Amino acid sequence: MKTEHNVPVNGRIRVILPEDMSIETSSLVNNCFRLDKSNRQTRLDCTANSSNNSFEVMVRSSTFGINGLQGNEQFQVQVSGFRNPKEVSVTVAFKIQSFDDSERLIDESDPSSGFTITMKSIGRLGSITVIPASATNGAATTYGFRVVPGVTISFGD
Amino acid sequence: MLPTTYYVQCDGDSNIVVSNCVKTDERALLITFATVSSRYNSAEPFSFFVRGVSNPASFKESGPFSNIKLVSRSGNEIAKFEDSRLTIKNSIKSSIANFSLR
Repeated sequence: MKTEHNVPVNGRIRVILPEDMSIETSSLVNNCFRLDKSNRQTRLDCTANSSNNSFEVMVRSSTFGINGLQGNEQFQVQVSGFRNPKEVSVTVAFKIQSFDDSERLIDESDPSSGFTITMKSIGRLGSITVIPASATNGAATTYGFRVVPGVTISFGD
Repeated sequence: MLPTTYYVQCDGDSNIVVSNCVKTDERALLITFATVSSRYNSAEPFSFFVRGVSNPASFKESGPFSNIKLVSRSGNEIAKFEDSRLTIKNSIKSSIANFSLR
């Protein structure tokens, strides 16, 4: 990504995930890196906020230099700990904001700026076991289904 | 799904609540879940029970159960299950209810 304006030291970049995604907080905090042009990793100071489905990259002098992140400077971050949207063929968008060290908004992504993803392939249910209560042929009986879903099931699914 | 009797009833376990359960044809059921959200997460298995299923009449292996899908509330597929081993086989013969010679 590139920001239009500078983000000073102790400012932050906030990435708000689409509603249908979620964050595994500890995984994200421990696996948040800046990648240089050769894809070498530098660990970043990142925080995750699962309540508003966002994470923040803190702009520290140790990783961004004493002038912080410069406007129009290519910035690549690699983070782990996301759960993909569960619906396929639905395009969802990320929102990206930058703030100064006093929490004042500097830049904000435009909804049409293309920070979107679309799931292409459907996930598989982990496993299903079927247990008939009766093994007698032709009997009207109760069938138990034990399911390991592999995806989050929400109200109304 | 196997053939069902006229009356079908579905229940969930302690992790998940079945809010609706309707036959969409003789061999298909559409089951709607209302989760117990404070306890349920994606890693946990859950069970549901369908009362009123007619066992196959023969002793051959039947199945597999097919076209098992999870569908979101907005109607989009979110997961599917395809396993040719998901079959059942009767092991007990039914008794003849009444028999008389004349």
